[in-house]
Amino acid sequence: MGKYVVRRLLWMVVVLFFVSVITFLLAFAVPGDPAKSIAGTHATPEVLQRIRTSLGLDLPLWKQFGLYLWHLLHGSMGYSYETQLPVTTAILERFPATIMIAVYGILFELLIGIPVGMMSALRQYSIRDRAFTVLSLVFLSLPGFFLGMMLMYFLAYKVQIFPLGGYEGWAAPLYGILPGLTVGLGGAAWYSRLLRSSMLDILSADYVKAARAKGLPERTVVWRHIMRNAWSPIVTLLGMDVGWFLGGVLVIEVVFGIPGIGWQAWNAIQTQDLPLIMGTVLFAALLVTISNFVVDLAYTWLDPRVKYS
Amino acid sequence: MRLRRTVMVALMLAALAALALGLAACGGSSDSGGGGGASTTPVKGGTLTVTYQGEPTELDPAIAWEITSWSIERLTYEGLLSYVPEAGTAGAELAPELATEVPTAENGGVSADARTYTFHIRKGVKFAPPVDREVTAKDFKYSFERMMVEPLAPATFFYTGVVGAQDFIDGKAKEIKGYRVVDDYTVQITLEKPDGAFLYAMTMPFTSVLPKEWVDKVGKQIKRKPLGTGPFVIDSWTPGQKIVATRNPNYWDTGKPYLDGINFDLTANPSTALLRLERGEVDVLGDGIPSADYLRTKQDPTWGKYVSDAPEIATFYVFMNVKEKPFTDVKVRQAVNYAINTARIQKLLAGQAKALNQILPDGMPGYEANKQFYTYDAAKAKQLLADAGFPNGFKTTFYGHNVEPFPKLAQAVQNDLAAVGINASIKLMDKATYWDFISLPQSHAGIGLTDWYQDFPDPSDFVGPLYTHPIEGGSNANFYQNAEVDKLYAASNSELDPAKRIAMFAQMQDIIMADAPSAILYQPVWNGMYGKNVGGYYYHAVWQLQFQWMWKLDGK
Repeated sequence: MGKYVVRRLLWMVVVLFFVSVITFLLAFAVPGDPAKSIAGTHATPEVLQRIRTSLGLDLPLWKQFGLYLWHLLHGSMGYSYETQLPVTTAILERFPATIMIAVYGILFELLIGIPVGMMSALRQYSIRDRAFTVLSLVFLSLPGFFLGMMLMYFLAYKVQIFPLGGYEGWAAPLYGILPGLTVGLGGAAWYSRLLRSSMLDILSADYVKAARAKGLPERTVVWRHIMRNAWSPIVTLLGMDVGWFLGGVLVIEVVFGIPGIGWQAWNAIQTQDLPLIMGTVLFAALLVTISNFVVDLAYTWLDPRVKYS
Repeated sequence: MRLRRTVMVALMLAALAALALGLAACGGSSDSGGGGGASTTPVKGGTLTVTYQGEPTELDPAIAWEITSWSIERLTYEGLLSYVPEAGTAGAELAPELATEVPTAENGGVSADARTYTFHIRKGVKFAPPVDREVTAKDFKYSFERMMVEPLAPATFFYTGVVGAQDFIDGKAKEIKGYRVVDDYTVQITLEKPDGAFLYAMTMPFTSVLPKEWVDKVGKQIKRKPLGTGPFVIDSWTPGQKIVATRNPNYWDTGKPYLDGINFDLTANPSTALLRLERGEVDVLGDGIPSADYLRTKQDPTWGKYVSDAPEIATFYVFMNVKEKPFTDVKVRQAVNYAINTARIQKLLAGQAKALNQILPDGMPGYEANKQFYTYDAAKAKQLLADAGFPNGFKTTFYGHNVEPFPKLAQAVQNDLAAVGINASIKLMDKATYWDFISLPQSHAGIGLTDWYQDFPDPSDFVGPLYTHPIEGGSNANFYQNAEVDKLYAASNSELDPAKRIAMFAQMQDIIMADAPSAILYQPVWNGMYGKNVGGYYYHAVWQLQFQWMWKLDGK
């Protein structure tokens, strides 16, 4: 097990290295001049040249990448071209807002998706099951920005339960509910579909029939025999979602005015703020790899048959 | 069965909670009523709430250049000169700010050779707390020199004409020789050669005054911790969330400002900001009305009167690169001018565009209200094309960036060009790439869209960068040059009589319009909106929204 953990951690470093190479090359393959984004269209060529020199944009590409890696090894992701803030600061300043949406999103996914999936599976082909199937398809296919605007219109404008977008920090958790619900409803649809099919596979298994035949109460059958085995795909998906949401759900952040790292990255792309773009991608990649790693470890606890060596 | 019951209970509880919350929220709604921004007697007190989608990159006056940064920056920073604080064209007139008067030839502020400017500084102006010290001439010189050597300063080129400025930037001199501190309340600036727009350049926030001890103390944090002499101080800036400003107790103009504070909400999506304004939670839309909501709001019986439409001093136009065939031929360029149905484009932009048919927009001195240069005439366009040797038209690529309204404009122009036989395929790119692309001769971009917003209300700001001295990476996407225009432009710089100088620009405009390097499409209109409780709202020709001089009708 210890060996396995070390190997996985080393692989994470390799993955992150390649992610940074790819983002660096992609960012620099895009034509355009970051100096022009910084100084605006009115700036003269001399001014632009001075800005390029001061940011090291006139160095050869390999040298820029070398410097980038060198700073990375020393724990610095560089400075944003636009604000001149350290990229790490810029990301950490915006991260709490992103975490809030991620927490709500995951909470809603699980709270809605799991009961719905269970109810569908336990009454396969019932009216309830069919209704949930149709609803899942609706929420899966609705674009996030549209669902978000609808929720905001009805629950914040027509009926004034929630604020009309914005973010006031963790002290005002009400601001996170609608964006969280928007992310969560789409996700819940996935979870319920996944859980339904994985439970249906198990429901017809011999050991479930045996459990029922020996007169175990239904609750014990469902929780101890069925659910225990149906969890793994859910946990896999959850691991992906944690990483994905913490990387910033861009559309939702923009629609609801949540100043998270997704929105910040969107701005950075528009102004060609390369250090900030690369920093955010690397940060998100780090989160995804970590949460996947945690999920893999969780399997050993969920399913004693799984062993890593 | 058990499972089902649990879920039902949970759902019922959730519904109850939602209902309770909903009732509580409904009780809180209110309608302030009132007479809107028309009232002219300012009321003291109260806090103004302004929405923006996104935050300024920084509030360092040496660096920030976007108008939204300026609108917030101007709460805190002031310079020697500004503009008359009035709506309409009056707002384009120079006015003293921390200087006691605008230097002119009559008051002895401008020397006979038009190279030396003398500014007298207002006495008793103090920096905001905690600096609390009187501002002197030395502070102005310090602030100016600091800006000139800031590596990211975008606008040093406006001031490199000051004697010794280039040497100072290059590190060959310890100070800018041409910026002299005469005594505590007088500075004198000498230029290498006359520059008719210099006083306008001195209004730009790049020349704002700030105290050295504060810059030294906060270091890099100066970007988010501004401190100057303005009517407000920036109390706090929560990244991405909000900026809170409160009244500056040291402000020199007694009785002002009227507001106690201004809160900037930086998380507001423009559409929801509008809904919040209608609900009374927001006072001014910093980003204006989103185009999709404009007509509905403008025609609304209650809210229509709170919509404030004002032409911006800017133009959207089609550039034609005079170095690229077939646009080398003036007849082809004139044909494009006749071919475009600009009235239809203005209709397409419903409320966001005003007719404009010349280089200088309405509100800019030199604008010729009575002149019509080109009017839509497809037959004439075809005739000109035939005369130029293209009786069947030609094929070309029409360039633009992919942010509205450019894609919409590109399609409209493409249709009009097709009608006279010019077969244009549209090529759009992202904004950052695009501005770079059209500024380089090696891109060979023959025709495309561009726009220009004023830096200051002097016609040299349009004619100079757009129609003289084409250089690689510059703003003259037409790569246009005309010896006669260049001569007049040079002469205008040493002309001290403002009326004569403006007449020269009208003359330059006539020459350029005859050469037709550009086809002017329209002048953009700013669709602003304020709440029922706001007084003193107007759109300023240069500063746009001046939150610092607004007030709340109920003083709350």
